[in-house]
Amino acid sequence: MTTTVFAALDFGPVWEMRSELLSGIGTMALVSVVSFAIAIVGGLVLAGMRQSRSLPISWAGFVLIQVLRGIALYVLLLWLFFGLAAQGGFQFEPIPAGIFALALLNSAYLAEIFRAGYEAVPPGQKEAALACGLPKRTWFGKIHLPQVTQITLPAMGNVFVDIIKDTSILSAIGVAELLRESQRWAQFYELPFEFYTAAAAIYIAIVTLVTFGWRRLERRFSRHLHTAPRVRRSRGLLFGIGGRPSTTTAS
Amino acid sequence: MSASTSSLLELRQVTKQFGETTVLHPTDLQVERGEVVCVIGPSGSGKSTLLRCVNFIAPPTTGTIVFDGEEYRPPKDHRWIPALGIPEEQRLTRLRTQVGMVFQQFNVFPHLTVRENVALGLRKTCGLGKKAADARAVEELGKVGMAEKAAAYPEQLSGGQKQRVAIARALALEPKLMLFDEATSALDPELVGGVLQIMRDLAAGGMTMMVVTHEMRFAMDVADRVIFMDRGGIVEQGTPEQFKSPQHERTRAFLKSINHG
Ligand SMILES: Nc1ncnc2c1ncn2[C@@H]1O[C@H](COP(=O)(O)OP(=O)(O)O)[C@@H](O)[C@H]1O
Ligand SMILES: [Mg+2]
Repeated sequence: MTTTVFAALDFGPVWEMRSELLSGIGTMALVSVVSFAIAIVGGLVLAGMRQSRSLPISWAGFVLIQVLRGIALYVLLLWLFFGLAAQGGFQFEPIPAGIFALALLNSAYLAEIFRAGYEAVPPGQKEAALACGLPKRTWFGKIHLPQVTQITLPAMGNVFVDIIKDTSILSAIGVAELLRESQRWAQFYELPFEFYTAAAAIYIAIVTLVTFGWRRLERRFSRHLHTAPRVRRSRGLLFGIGGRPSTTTAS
Repeated sequence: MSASTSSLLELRQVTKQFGETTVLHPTDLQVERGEVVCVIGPSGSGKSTLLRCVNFIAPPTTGTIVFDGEEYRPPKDHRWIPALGIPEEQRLTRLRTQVGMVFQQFNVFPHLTVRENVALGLRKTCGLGKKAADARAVEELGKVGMAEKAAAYPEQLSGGQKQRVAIARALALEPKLMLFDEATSALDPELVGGVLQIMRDLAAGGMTMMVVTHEMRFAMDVADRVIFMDRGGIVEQGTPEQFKSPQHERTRAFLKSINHG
């Protein structure tokens, strides 16, 4: 039975359209990386505002974060792309609109992640650094920031993965990313199952690759938690699957 | 710059407030060069706060600290123009390098190797180059028996070893005063002795020390003077001998509680 079902499938056109799909992947990659980079900067700014000693700035940061967290990406996209233009305002190009929306919303998430990471470093670290006569900027650069980075990297990786998947929503305003391309050729060939299956497989593959790459980055920043760092690192990507750093020792 | 310069440290009417709450009531204290002062008292009595004031990590709210002849008074708060606080911050940084501190929770830097833990302060405050700082670091680590662990990360060390690293890190800067805040309270019992021995040696070598501790045997053996604190103030002070028959009821009650604890 199953064989007849699969016999009806025709992945030939998917293969023929590979360069179109590949260009969709390229757009997805560009949009994700640029949005993520901008979101990191935005997140640092928002987190900085929240930490500010000035009450108005801190409140402004709080309100901004709450507002951004309350908007759905889809809604923001339509508002930016169609809404603003209809008011005689500003007509975005699709890709900049998508990047702007993704960066804006995710900067709010990252701000919360950064803030939590900032507070997760034990206060004793600062006391010890100051007691060693380190100036504040050295404490921040050499003691605080590396630990905040290590703490926040896993959550940052999740945001990056979300951004990658959310680029698919940009198809709604006509950005020719992977889903939009798949949609187009699915309709053209009337092979929705084949094209959407291919799209799903590509999303899974890319997210998997990014996850493993990110894990290597996390490793680099948590060297000090590995009891035998050299052995683990030389094993490369695939063998590292089960090798989450162990943090069994309480301190 | 007269008679008072003979003391290494002098506190005059020093207080510490956090917001509305006063954690340290006006306190006077003198510590002579080479003196070992042990500070005892119940939890929450302000012992750590006192040390943090002395170390300028949490400078006092009011009062005067004279350290090695240099007078320090808390400045105005520069909340509106933070840049005005920079010279003040630089001064605090300089004062802090002259006072070493060892903490209950070790507070070693987990992302740096043992050597880097010690070398970082040497490079930033003594202006040593990387090579020279590393060499000095290993030398300091040798003094506390930790030279072989120079390349290890703190994660791989026992509590006692971490505390040795923290002690080496503080001593490397050649402080004039060493502060120990319950340095052995977080250690497994079998590791306490080694760290206490390092502190004994340090005292015997003439280091000026303020030691917050619950180890009464250590206090009685090593201290030149014992201070009992309660509710944010010094209640009583005297030689270990005098503490065998304390004057105050609160001191008696405290000593009784830890002897039977
Ligand atoms: N940063 C702070 N903010 C507010 N209260 C504090 C702070 N640090 C200490 N305290 C309070 O000051 C009191 C004394 O604390 P501490 O000096 O740590 O006591 P001890 O070291 O004797 O146990 C405690 O009641 C504590 O809650
Ligand atoms: Mg304490």
